[in-house]
Order: sequence, then C-alpha cells, then structure tokens
Amino acid sequence: MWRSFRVRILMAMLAIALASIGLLFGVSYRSAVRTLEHNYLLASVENTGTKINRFDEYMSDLYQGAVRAGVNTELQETVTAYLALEHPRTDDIIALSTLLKEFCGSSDTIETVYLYLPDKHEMLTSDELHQRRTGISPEQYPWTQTAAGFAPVRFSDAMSGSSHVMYGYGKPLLDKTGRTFAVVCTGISAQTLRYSIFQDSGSAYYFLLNGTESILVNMQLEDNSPPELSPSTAESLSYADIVYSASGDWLYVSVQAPFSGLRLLRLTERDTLRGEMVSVREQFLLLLLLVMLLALLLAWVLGRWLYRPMGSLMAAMAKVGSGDLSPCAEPEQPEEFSQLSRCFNQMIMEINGLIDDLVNERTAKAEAELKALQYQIQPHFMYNTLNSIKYAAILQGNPKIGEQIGAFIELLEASISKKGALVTLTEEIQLLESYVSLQSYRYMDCFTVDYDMTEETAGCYVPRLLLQPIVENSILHGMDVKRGDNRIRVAALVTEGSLWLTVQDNGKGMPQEQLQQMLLDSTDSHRQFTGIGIANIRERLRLYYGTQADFHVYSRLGEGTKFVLRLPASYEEEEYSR
Amino acid sequence: MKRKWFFALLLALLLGGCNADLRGEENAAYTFGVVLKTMDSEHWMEIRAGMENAASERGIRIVLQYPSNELAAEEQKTILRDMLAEPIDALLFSPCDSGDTAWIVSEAEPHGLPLFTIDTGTLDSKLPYIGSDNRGIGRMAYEYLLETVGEGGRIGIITGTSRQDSLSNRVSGFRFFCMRDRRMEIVCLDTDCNNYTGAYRAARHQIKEENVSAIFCTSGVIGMGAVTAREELGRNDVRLIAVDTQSDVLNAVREGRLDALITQSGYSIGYQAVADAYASLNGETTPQEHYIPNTLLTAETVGAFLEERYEESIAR
Repeated sequence: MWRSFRVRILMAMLAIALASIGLLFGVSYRSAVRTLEHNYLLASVENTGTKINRFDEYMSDLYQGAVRAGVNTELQETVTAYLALEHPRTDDIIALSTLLKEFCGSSDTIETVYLYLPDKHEMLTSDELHQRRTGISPEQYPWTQTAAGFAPVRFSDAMSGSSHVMYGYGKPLLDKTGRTFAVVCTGISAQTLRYSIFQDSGSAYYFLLNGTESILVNMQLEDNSPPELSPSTAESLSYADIVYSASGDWLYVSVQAPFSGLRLLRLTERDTLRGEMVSVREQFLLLLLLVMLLALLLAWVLGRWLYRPMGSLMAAMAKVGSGDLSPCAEPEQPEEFSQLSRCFNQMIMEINGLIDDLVNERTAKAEAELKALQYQIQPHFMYNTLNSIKYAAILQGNPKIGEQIGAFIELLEASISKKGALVTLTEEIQLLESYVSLQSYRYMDCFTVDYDMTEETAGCYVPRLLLQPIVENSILHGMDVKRGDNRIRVAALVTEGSLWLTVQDNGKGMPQEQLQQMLLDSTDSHRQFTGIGIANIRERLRLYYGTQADFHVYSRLGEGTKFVLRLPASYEEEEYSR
Repeated sequence: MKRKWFFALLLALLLGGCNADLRGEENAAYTFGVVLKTMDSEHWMEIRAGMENAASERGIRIVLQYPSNELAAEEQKTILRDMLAEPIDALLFSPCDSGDTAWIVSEAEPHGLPLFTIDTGTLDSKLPYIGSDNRGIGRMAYEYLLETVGEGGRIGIITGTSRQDSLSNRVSGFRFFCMRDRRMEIVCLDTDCNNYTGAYRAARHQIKEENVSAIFCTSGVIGMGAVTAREELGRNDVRLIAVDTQSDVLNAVREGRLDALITQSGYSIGYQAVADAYASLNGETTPQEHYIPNTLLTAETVGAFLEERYEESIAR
C-alpha cells in the first residue's frame, strides 16, 4: 500500500503540512517566549526599581538622621558631660538615651539610635529596655569604624541578648582637636525592611548585593546565595541589568540604588515563568499528534475514494490486456474519470473495428485464394484421361488433336502443379501460351498474340492466373472472327520498382456500359476456362498490393481495348503472399 | 549545497534573536553627585526638577543629598565628605558656607573630580558657577528703587548669612551702584536674618526707627517678614523689593503687599548646571560663570508671569 503513488503523494502533502504547522508553531512559540520574558523582565526592572528606591528612601532618611546627630551640638555636649562621669547613674543614662530617642522621633525610618563610646567600650541606645551595655568590641559593630560614603552598614545587634540584623549609618562625634570621642548610628532592622518592602515578592527572590564587599544578602532566605551567580558576575552588573544564569535556568534583574549604591537582585526561575507556555507547547504537541493520526486516516479514506474510479479503469485495462476486447470501463464520477472511461471504451471499440477489418481482409484474401484454386477445376484424373486421349489421337494418326490435347494438358498441369498464390511472370506467360494455343485452334488461328517482355520482368512474381482472364476477355469480347488480323499484345516492363503489364487488342472495343459491367461483375459465367472475372483480378490486386497496385482499362469501339496493370516488381515469392 | 543553505536558514529562523540583548537599558553614562543647601522651598524643588530632567535626557544618574536647612553647614560638610567618597563623575553643590569650600577642591583634585557650584558660589575657591547673577540682582533692585523712590531715598537692606555668596553678592551689587551714583543712601543693613521672624523684627526696626523709604530683602522669606512688619505699621509708603520665586511671595506681589520681586528660575538653574557639567565631561568648553536671567515682577506683570510659569510646568 505504501508503495503506491497516490499514498506517496498524500503522505508527502501531509508531511509538508505538518512540517509547516510545526515550523510555524516553533517560531511563534519561541517568539512568544521571548516576548513574554522580555515584557516580564521589563516589568521586573520597574518592580525591582520601585523596591530598591523605597529601600533607598529608608537609607537616605537614616543617613540624614546620622548626619544631623553627628553635628548636633546638644548631643556633643551631653556626651562630653557623660564621658566626664566616672560612675554614671541611671538618670544620666536615661537622659542620654532620651536624647538619642529624640533623633528617632525626627524620622519615621530611624528605629534605634546607637551611641558608641570608644574610650569606655560602652554602647548606649535609644531603646528604653536596652539602654546601655559595656564591654563592647568595635568589630561587632562595623559602623564604629566606618568610612565615609552612602552605603549602609549591615550589622548584628546583640544589645537585647538575641541578635537581629540591622542596617545603619555611623557618624563620628569629633572634639575640637578632631578626635572621635563617640560614634552615633541610626539604624533600622532588616525585618522592618523585609515587611515593608519585600512582602509582596511573589515567586521572585530578592538579594541585596553590596558590590564593594561582594556580600550577598538574601532578604528572604537568610544567608542563601543567589544560585549560579558568582561575586565577580554580581560586581560586573551595571545600573539596571537583565541577565540569564549560566545554565539558563534563572533570570536575573538587577537594579542599583542611586543613593546607597546597593544593588537589588531579583531572581526568577525560568520554569515558573515558562510554566504556562510549556503547557501550551505540550498541548500543541498532543494536538499535532492527533491531527497527524486524523490526517493519516483521512489520507487512507481519501486514497480509497480517489482510487475507486481509477480502480475500475485499471480493472478494465487489465481485462483488455488479458485479451477481452469488450468495452467494459464503467463511466465513474468524477467527470475526468468518466471521460477517461468513455475514451477508453471508444478506443477499444475502434480497436475491435480495426481487428474486424483485418480479419475480414484476411478472410477475403483466403476466400480469393480458395476461389482461385476452386477455379482450377481439373482434377488429376481429368489430366490422366486427357493424356490417354492425346496419345490415342497420335496413335490414330491425328497429331493435331494430340497437340491440342497436349497444350490443354500443359495448361491443366500448370494450373494444378502450382500450389502457391504467386508465380513468376515466365510461368504465368507459359500458362498463357498454352491457353492461347488452345484458343488459337478453336478460333481457326484468326488472331495472333505477341509477347513483349524485358528480361528483368521474367523473375517478377505475379498473382497466378492474372493475365489469362484478360487475354481470354480480349479473345472472347474483342476479337472479330471475320477478320484475320486480330492481334493481342502482351507486354511487361519494370520501371522504378513497378512492374507494368499491358494486354492490348485491336478488336471491337467495348462500350462504356459493358466496360462497367465487366469491372463490377466478379463471376463471369461466360468464362470458358477459369471463370475468373476482370473484377476478381482487380480485387486480387487490391488484396495483395493495396494501393501499390493499379488496374486500368482503356477501350474504344472499333479500335480495341487496353488493360494496364501496375504492381510492385517483387522478386520474392513470400513478399506479398501473406 | 542548496539544501544545506535551506537548513541553515531554517535554523536561523528558529534560533534567531533568541538571546535578545536586554542588558544595559538603563545604564547611566555618568553619575553626578549633587549636594544642595536644603529642600524646604519651591526654589530648591525646582532646581532638583531641572537637574533630574536634564540628567534623564542625558542618561545621567544623580545622587542627591542635602542637609536639614540652609544654615546646616556642618551637616552639609559631612554629606559632602561622604559624597566625595562615592564613585561619582562630577560634584555639583550649593554651599551652605561659601567660605569653607577649599577643602572640597583639595580633596577632589587628586581624583580629577570636576566641581560645579549651583545657585550659590564660593568665596575661598574659584569654581564654575551656574545660577543667577547676584550682583546683577542687586543692580536690578537698585534701579527699581531709584525709579520708584527717587533720589535721596533712604534704603534699608535685610539679608541672611554673610557666609553665603549669593546673598552677599546681592548686597554688594546694590551697594556698588548706590555708592557710584550717590543718589540714594543705604541707611541700615541687617545681616543674619535667615528666617521670617528675624526679617520681621529687622524690618519693623528699619521702618519705625530708621525711617527708611524702601527695603531691599535679599530673599523671599525675608521679604515676607518685611511685608508683615509694613502692614502692621501701616506704612505703605515704604517700598519693598525681594528676591525669590515661591508661591507665597508671588501671591504677595499679586495682592500688592509686596511691591516688586526679582525672580530666578530654579528649574533653568538646575537644568543648566547638569547640562554644563555633562558638556564639560565631554570635553566641551563651558563658561566659568553661567548666569541664568532674572525677571523683575510687579503687580502688573506677575499675572502674565504666573500664567507662563504654569504653562511651562505643564509642558515639562
């Protein structure tokens, strides 16, 4: 089935259609994913920008609070006085803590204000419950040694016993000599920032990156590093960047804060983003499979449907091929096949006609042959009997009769001995001479026959008994027995591959009606010898040679008749005998 | 061969543009550090808006900070020090203390950091300046008062801290023309009147005690203090002229409570400052002193000015 042409065509069309659909979908899918990711990333940049800007506003507030506290004269004076106390009392601590608390009140952002006294290794805060703690190591609070800049310091506040992450800015309190006698810090807890900024993060992860120190701070998953992002890559990110991770599994959106300089990194798993698209893709593949199966089924059904009219035609052809020439193709729909069937049937009918013609022709030829043989009426016993009579006549002293009987025997012999349909012109002339001899005796030698033949005509094959009936016709119808100068001239000539035979007499000639009668009547009952009519000769010439042969009769009353025959000069007996 | 090309084309179609470059859409060309004097008036907000628009047009990132008020020189110093530690390409600032800027120049110099002053110039260093021609403002005030008060006018001046170059230049400009023409006399000069109350007290004193015929207030806030004092004393014959572009002062002019106001376009100053710094970083030559024109408004002209200003802000 798969080898048939129609199935191949259908399969090829199917394959092209499916490939086109697949290709179109593939391109559209990729484009859709790209657009989706692009739009998502742009939205992410905006979202991340909003978040980092909010973060930055907090940091800016903290910073300004720290700056103000650092140059605040009242604070400087109070701290100086406090430092002068060898054993500060609770009241002194409360007074200082209250002053620190005032800075908290100056801004909504500042949660806690810290004051570190390096000389005493002491920390005071605005937190009423944890106002003072001694024995503080400056390393624990990096802002105590911080350099200038707008980047906040991330530190762990352990004043309450349990530590929690804070962001803050430290500013030194300088005495007149420029020596740092205290460091003030305004701080906000990471937790507050998390709740106020990063609460509605959805499926995205946010990381705060401090570029200079390459510290990765996960705002949601504490101390987890962003997957597949090395510190060097993080550093190389510019102001607002969108990159794919090395494996392509993550989308990074990074926006740098204008003030604090920190970078907010937003991570999204591509699978989360693509989930819906992947499901669309799977649905499409399933659909494609279904379409393919349906298309195969349709191809099969269509193939059968298309093949049906062709099948009928093919069966008819096979039948003709096996020899049955009956017009049998059913005129099927559609129109093309119907027309094809009609043409086929017509063709078969024409072939049948041609075959019939051929058969008829052959039959006619065979009949003519048979007729020719049938006209060779004398059987052998007649020949033997006549031979006996001939010798009896000679023995009884009548040689003339014997001679005539001899000629007659010869004529009969020639007629009987030749089985084939074609004889050489020489043989035909011999037969003719015997016949003429007999007729000459009968008509008291009132006519003479002249033979004029060129050499090359001698071997030419002609249908047997071709000339005899013509000469007989001249003797019977043309000769005037009262005249003594009746002449019959038999001539043969070969020119340009044609054999020209003429039989001409100087007899009475024939009126036109007689001439027509002679040409049409195939069975001339007046025939003396063979009974073969002139029409028969003409018919035989047509059967043997078709259009290559001509037969003409020219007759004029009182002047005579001339028969002209043209036939191919054939030297092979078999050439035209079939 | 043809087939190979076909598949290559197909592959290109499928993979083409897969890695669309989304990077660097917001990457800044430069980062400008900006430290202003304060953000508590319309004037400074306009400067900020002008700077931000100019920066956004040029792809410049701006890091902007300011102290709690115009007089918080120490706060500003801390901020400037922190700003200098930041990775910035240029520093644009408006000093609270014009006489304490040399240290900025010396700290910026080793890093080749370009410095520009906005609105207020420096006294102890020579830095490019973008802002009003403050001496010109002094001259405008002088000419207006000469015209309205006439020869022999007794002029009082109320100004803020002398540590700010802009205010002191306005005064010195005014004084220069007075001394040159000798057609009016400056009878008293009150300095360090940085707020409304101080200005009110000084104006009250000048009108009542010094019998001035006109007062030149070097800022809008000072002008409002003087307006209150004049209204209280019922001395509408005393001419008042102030400098600034903020709504309450403009309203006072429209209502006829303040005789004249010399405005300065904060937006243009901020915008031009960023444009100049950007051009300078790109190797172009910019003027050492880039003055933004000022306009003198009176009750007659303030309406048209307000309309124009409104349309401009809409256009922006």
